[in-house]
Amino acid sequence: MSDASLAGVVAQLSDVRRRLATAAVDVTRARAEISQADSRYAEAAGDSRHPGIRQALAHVRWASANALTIARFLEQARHHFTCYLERIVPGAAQDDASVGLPDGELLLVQVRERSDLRSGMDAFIGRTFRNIENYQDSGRSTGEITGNTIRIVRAPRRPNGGKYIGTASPAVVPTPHHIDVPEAAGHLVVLGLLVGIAAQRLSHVTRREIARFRRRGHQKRTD
Amino acid sequence: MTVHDVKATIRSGNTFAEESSKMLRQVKDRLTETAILAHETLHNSHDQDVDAGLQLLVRVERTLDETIEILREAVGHAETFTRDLG
Repeated sequence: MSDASLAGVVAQLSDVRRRLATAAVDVTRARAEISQADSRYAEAAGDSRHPGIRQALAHVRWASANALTIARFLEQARHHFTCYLERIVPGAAQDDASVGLPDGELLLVQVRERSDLRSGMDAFIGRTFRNIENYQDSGRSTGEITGNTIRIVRAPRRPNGGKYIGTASPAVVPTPHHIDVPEAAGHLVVLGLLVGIAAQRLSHVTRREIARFRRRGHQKRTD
Repeated sequence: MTVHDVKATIRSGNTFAEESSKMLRQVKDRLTETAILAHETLHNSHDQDVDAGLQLLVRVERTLDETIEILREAVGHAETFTRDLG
């Protein structure tokens, strides 16, 4: 077999594997719809022993079990083709998340992660300001502020069980930080500087925008 | 819950069942194409993994057909119940 025809086999088998992965995801989605049907029928059935609704419930549960079997078969078939591909051209089967999930799924995971990161940052900002207030009463809170800063910067919150797509390091298990008063004061100074820079930037942008609007208004009047 | 509510809930269940059935039919159509591509690519291979993979595809197609039929029957049974509600 020539290299060109082997390359063709690799390309086509890779396509088959990708299609099987997509099919498995689609079947899982269909199963989620079946679960919705199940819960609607169960809600409607209540305590009724009517054979119609009981049969409907039994059937959707059967369909759900079948959908699970189909998704498993698809994954197994994909695995067999992957093994074959690896045997004929070692390294040809990149068995990673990007092959296992269709583009749409990757996108969803990334959107979810961004959303989680955003809410994590919002929560962090809220906590930081609360902590600064508390610091006036107790120097102990400074350690928490710094601890939160480190935790948020190092490990943004991510969905449970979701695959992480990105270049950041894996989640760091939070460890208690013991911080003494001079160190805490140093962190506060840094924090103050950051807030100052942010305020300066904001005022600069605001001034620029106001000037732009004024110019535009002036232009309209002269036109 | 009133009879009207029960009927509406069943209708909603039927919609989900029909939607899932539609999704499975689409999977079946695409899988048929995939199986043809796999058979063409792996024609004349006597590898164990190839045989196992191709056999699984046949089973998937069969189970998909069966599941679509089961869902159709589920909707039929639910409609019988709705009719009996009056």
